[in-house]
Amino acid sequence: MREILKTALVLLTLLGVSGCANQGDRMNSSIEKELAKNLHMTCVTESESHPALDPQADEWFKKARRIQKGEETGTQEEVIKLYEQAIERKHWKAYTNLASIYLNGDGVKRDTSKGIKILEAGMKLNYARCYAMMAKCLASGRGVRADEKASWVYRRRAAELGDSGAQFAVGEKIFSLGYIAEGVDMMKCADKQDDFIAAHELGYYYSIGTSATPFDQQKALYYFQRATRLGYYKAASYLRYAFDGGEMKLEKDHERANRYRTVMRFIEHYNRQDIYPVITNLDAIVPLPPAPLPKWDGKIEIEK
Amino acid sequence: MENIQVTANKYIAASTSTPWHIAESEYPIQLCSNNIELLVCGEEAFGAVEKAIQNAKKSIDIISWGFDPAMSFSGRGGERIGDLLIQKASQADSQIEVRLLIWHSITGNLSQNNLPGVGIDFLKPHDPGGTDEDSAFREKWYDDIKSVANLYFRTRDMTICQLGKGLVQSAAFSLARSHHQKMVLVDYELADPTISIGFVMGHNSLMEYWDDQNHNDESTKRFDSCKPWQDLSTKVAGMILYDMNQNFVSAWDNKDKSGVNFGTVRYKQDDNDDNLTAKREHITALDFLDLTYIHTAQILRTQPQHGVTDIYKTYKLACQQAHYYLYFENQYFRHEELANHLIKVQKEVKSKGRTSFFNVFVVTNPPQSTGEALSTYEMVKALGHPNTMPKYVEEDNAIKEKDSSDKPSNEKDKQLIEQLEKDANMRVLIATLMTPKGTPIYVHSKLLLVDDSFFLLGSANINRRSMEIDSELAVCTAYHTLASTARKKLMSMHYNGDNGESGLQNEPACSIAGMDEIFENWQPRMQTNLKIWKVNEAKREEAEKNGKTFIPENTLTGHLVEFYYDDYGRTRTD
Repeated sequence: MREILKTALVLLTLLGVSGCANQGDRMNSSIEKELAKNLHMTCVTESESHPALDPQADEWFKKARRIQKGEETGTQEEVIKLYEQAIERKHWKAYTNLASIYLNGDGVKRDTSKGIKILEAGMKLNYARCYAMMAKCLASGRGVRADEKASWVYRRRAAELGDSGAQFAVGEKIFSLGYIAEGVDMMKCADKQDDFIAAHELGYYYSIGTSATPFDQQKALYYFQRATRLGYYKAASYLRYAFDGGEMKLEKDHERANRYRTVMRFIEHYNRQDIYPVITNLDAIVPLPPAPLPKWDGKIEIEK
Repeated sequence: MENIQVTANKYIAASTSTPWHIAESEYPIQLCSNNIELLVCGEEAFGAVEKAIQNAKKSIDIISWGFDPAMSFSGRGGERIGDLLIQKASQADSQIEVRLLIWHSITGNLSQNNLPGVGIDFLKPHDPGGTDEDSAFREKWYDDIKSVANLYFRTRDMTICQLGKGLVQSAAFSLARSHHQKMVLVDYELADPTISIGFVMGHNSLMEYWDDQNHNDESTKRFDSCKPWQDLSTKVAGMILYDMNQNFVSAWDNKDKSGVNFGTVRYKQDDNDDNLTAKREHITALDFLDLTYIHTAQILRTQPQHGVTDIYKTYKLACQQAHYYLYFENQYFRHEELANHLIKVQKEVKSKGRTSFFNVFVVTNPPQSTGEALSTYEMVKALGHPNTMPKYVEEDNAIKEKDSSDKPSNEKDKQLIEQLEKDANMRVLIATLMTPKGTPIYVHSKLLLVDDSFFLLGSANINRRSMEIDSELAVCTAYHTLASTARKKLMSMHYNGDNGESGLQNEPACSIAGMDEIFENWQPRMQTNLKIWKVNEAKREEAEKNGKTFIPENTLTGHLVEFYYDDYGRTRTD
């Protein structure tokens, strides 16, 4: 019995069972080298860096969206036709919508190479979201050969062209690699376009304290409040917890905490359906201290 | 149902009309005369086993997945298990018989080191812990026991190939199938309810399973190179010992063998301990009757040779009966089918009029390899937490953008959202554990608690392997105080990062408001701890770039950390 075991073990060792332990580390360091080339970036928003939309093309685009959302009757063929027409007039939002239909096979035969061609056309015109979607394809190997490093190159390009999702992702990545100041800048850039996850992240950076964001109770509160206003229940949940437990050197304030709890429970329901409603009257419900709590009739006003 | 029970006490009979037990089970519900005690972490669990073995007068029966004779039940520096067992077996004034039955398989042991000292240790992929001296001890022990007449050491193999039964098994699945049970039975042959004692365990008798309840970074009691470890076992007494013995003797007598494997193998050539079943036949469940023991209890198994999946059936039933909360503390969380079942049955509960939240708490590990990650992703995604594994989300919706008002979402995602929208107001927290300094605490527990009413603990993980394919042993009870004490102790332990004793007084009661309160405290604390950990990791990188040493200023509060996994792989090890 022991002999058989030994033979099997030797055989297995020869086959090289313990092959690829350090692959992940090597990949990370090559991504780091790539991203470190371009740590700084002028922050632009998508609307700043993209041309004005042709009004007729935008009509077609909006009609296609209404059909897709089921707000208007129509076929998938019509949707495709409308997006194609919009693309002819360089409607930069239409490229990724059409590409995703082919990449996912949404109501058509899946055709990833067609999807990739559409993204390539958009990238030639420097459209941010085409770079961002291409980065995702490269990360997951959809329609192209998976290439993690290349996906970060494309994501970085999308960030500088104004895609807030890419700005968040690149910011988080370089932050984790130890480029803290640059990561925070990138995160602030994403926050400019109302990226609530970026705002929430910045709240944590100021509450925990880093070299670029030394502990600052007021700034932390500002960002958590902002993320709450943008409909992110985790921010409301944190503020409830912080006021109840005296986190961030706050004075305990259960009345404030209770209002955040109400807000949190209200938006959690939406978040779980992937909807993030802007709470337009948040500062009237629960303004940040030192402002005293106003009277509140319990109404939460939202804009979906 | 074949039910060996006491009928004298009507009150006890009435208290068992609980809805927690499955209708057709392998072992009966022992309606009364059982005592179950939760043992939290190695110091307490192994300590209780050691004491029982030291006091043994007649028989010591051990089944385990793993065994290391060099380990000590009382932590680093204590008496070795190997020495203790030899000493008990050779006591001149008594006739104590020691039986050890450990899983061993040629193919399975290629990826596991559950029997250090057997085979070539340095070729095995996993460090069993300990020093060079420990390695030498192991080698010698397996020679020494050949001359100890009353110590029997056997190994058992699991079926290598068992096709059919609708299970399409990958090679990895069937090659590494194991006997995963862990139980100890002391002095069963004395058949005395106050002396005979049993353990249904999550712990293996291996060094890394030993830790105390505080999980300190700088523990001097853990063994060399062993990390913080969270694990649970139970000590049991009373009529349920009868069923545990059935489980033991059928395995010992090699009655569970089927298919292509070695079955039970005798390590010693002069092992003539034949037909233990017959030897113990005269002992009945009623021999363990003691009305000071007030718990109901049932033994549950996964035993694929006999087509038994009682553990899984009981899990599914528990999901259905739950009204306030479910608490899973489990090494794995990798069973999409269970998640879908939970959503389905809870929808029905909601449709009957429940308007409050139903809270689900999960304490588990992040996947330890990409091979474990896909099945984890399937389960966390089904329960509404795909974003805890961002790279899988990317693959899933390569194309779906967060700005969904401008961009279409794909069909699969719509289904998921619709499903969750109707998910019975169920909300799920998935936590992992870390010390305040950010060292992972490995969760090896296999516990289910429901509504402070139902308690199930054993060797079964939440994955298909444990629910259908390996052999597993668990004990469950619908006696409410066990579930409620365990819940308060463990929740407090993880939330506060101490031994949890204060929780017995301070944790909220099981009510809608109480469970909401816990949920809403856990969620931000878990997330904050994850952020602190991430920021600390980033600061460490920053310090290294500047050639400085990183000293964390911020430590985690308590042990709960939001589940998070940032790697990606599509291969499936099971």
